[in-house]
Amino acid sequence: MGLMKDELMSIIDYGQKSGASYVEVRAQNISKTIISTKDGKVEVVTEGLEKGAGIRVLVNGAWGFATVGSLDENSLKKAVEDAVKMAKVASEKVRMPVTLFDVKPVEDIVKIKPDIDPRDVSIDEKMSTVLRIDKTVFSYDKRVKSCTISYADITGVQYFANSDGTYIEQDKLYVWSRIFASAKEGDIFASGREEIGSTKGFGIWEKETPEKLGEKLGERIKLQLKAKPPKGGGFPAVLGPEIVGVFAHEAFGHLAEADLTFAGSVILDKLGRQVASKHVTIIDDGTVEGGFGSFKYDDEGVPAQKTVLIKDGVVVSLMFDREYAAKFEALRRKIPEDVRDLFEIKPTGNARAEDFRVPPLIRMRNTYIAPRDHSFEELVEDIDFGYYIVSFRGGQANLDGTFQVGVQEAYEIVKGEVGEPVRNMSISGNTLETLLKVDAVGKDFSLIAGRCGKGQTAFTGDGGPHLRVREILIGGAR
Amino acid sequence: MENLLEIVKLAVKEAEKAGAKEAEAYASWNKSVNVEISQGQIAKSSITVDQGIGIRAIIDKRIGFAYTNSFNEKIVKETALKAVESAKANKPDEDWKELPSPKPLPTVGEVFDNRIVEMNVEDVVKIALRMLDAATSYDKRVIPFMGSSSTIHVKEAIANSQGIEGFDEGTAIVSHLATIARDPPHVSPWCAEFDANRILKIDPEWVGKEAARLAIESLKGEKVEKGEYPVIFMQDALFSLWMYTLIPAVRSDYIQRDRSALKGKIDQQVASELLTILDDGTYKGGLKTSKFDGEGVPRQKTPIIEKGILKGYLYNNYTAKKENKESTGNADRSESYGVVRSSYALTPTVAPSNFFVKPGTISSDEMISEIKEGFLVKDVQGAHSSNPESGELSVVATPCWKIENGEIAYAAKGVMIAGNMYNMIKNVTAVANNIRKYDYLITPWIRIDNVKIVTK
Repeated sequence: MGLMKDELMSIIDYGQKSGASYVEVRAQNISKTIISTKDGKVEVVTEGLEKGAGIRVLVNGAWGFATVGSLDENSLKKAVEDAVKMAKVASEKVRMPVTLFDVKPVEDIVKIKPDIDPRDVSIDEKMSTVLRIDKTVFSYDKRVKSCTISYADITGVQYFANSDGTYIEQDKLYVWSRIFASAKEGDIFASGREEIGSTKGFGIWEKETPEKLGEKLGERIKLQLKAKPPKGGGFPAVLGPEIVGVFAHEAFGHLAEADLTFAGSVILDKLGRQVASKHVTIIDDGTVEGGFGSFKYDDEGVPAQKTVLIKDGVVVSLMFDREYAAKFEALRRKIPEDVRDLFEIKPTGNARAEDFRVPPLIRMRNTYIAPRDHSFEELVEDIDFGYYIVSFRGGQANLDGTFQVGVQEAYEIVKGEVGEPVRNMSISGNTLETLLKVDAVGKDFSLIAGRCGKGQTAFTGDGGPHLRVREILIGGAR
Repeated sequence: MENLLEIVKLAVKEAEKAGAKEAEAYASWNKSVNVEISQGQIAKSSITVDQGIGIRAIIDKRIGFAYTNSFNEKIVKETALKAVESAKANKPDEDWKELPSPKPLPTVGEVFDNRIVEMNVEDVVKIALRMLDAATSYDKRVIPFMGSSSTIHVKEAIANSQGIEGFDEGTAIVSHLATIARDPPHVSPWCAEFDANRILKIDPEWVGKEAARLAIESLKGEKVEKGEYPVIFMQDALFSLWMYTLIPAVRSDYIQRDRSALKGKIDQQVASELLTILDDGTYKGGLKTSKFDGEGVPRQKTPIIEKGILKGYLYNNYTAKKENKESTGNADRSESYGVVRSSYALTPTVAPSNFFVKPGTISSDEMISEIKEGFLVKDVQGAHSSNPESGELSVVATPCWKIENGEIAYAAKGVMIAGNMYNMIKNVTAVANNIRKYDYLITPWIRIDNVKIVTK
């Protein structure tokens, strides 16, 4: 069983004989079709083929990594030699040797059954799908000036093997699109972004039709043209699922990536402790059906899981790879005894690499705040003056627990009702302080496709329900 | 090692044979040795080689593109064929004129150093250790949690059916360290410093010491009063802020699509007369310096702003020919669609080479000493959420220090800067003499007055 099993196992054997205590090989054979359009014009259609392997080894407690753009035996052997050499040199100065948390070896072949396989769709149909979005955006409002769309589908197979005896063949399938549009009236510029993605196939365009997407973006830009700048300062706010998602991901999620926690993120001292209001449960889940951050096995061969990070306000786990699960296990006795058992340490299936060119890192999958029981009306009705924040333009967070999120769609809330749109808003503050101020969580739920950068790009999903924060810092130009 | 120039020439020929009226092939080979620091130690190193070829085929104004990461002759031929097929599947672009023609290439200095090519991983480890030791011996509250030292060796070749044939080779060495300082209950923000050069001239001790000093000096942040203040922006902050405002605003593709607040303002005063900026792809030792751009067009010096007056925009071949102009040598193969990263997998867009801000005469110390009450901003968070078209921005300044009576008084936390970049550049009141290379940007510190600070 397994197309490349014998080849990869012989390379692993060779690496062990060269002195490595652990060897893993990740080989890929990937095709990409990319279409980019600008203002109704197809700029270019790209067809790409990428083949290669990344080899990671442990020697005397240090990592070595080498990558090669070919899968023939001699190139792979050379790469494993390089990786062993790199690890040996790095190991000379290691004070805390790297060890790996034990996991059960797996043998599996994962076939994806796409709703519609993008390889069966003609370039012509892909182009016309993209151009339908463009057409909808431009015809939505005559002040629309530009529309830039990227479309990509990625298909292929990944072969993974390691010296623990794991061998996994896993289909890769992504369909993704991002739309930017802008409008202008006098001196006022407005711009907006939409992004969609699926791991199920080209069928996403039947749910998220090009027209629906185009209208959503058109409406957002149109509102911005008549919007006013926000007041600066602290205000109560209702956050929509997209903002809740970016908050769960950017503001909180990165702090709970075990490598960044270990580096000293603000939750290092708070494992097993209350950091958020009791209404807040945050989950990173690799198993959501069709979710843009979903997969069966991560890039260390660990099964993807549903990992609860915060349960009813308490930090109960982190996102671990095998290295950091072992590091935290060694530190377990430093967690205060009364909460030690509340905190779970094990590889969670969060090790992900963008492609064979890079080693895996701890990355998020689908990150969200769990829904509760409030209706939207209940969330809004008690607010005398505040903001309803719907969609973001970009976000960033710091290990000290501060965050900043740029907003592309938001409204005033006046006397319990959603009112006029505001533009050029951003929200910022201290993540944990803000999580403590969450006083009601809605019962709706949605996940939004996104991409996350941590030196490498990872496809993710972020989301949650609507929720209310007693106070959040609003920045704006007024 | 295959000959890159031969491969791109072969690809152009193959694409023409397959029916392309015009063809262009770009190949790159990129080798990097990287030693990684995490949690205060070196425990990881890697060697990566990424190579590949991207082929553009044009048939009756239809443009197709295909790439592969193999230089195998058979696969290159298949890729040329795919590019032609992809052109046939595309719709015509009426604005397409033709690929660029050959022009003499400039000579550029200090962009290649054989000593970097010959460095082995042991040498790179030594550099990383020197940096790490400098950081940890500065203060034991400092955690050098992430960093790396790496060497890069790049070869690039381009050929097209108009007769362009070019080959270029460059090196770089980079050392970077991010730290935080912990002194419970205080945690500093993430502080980072780096040094990068094209030749073997790097100061890892300085990087380590600075990264540590920044973290210690921003450990105990204090809240400040909102208001309008003079603010000194350091290179890191300018890099982030301009990337999403001023840079797109001078890109010809943004201008042509009516997405720039600087459209139609050539020869008008758009900034303080203290500000002079040129794009210089030939800058000696510049991190973005090369002989030719992503389409084989010679790199050059292009005036952008002269004493506050807007002088020009950045063009590649396509955007220039659309206006019957000449390309300014700013075709760039690094703007990713998010699903590909390697230069050979990307088609040319428009980007600055080295965006050079002419230094002033005062020192950084004098600049600080002239401010009674204001801020010194090392970096900003959230610049990518700026509105690229209007220049409106709202960012968090971190690390950031309060200046009082001409001296750095204390670290400031929770400082948000709100405003509009196109108004801000009009309020530049001083330009220092301390220029520094920061990716695409070569700039000194810049003082801007009446910057709006929002706080909680």
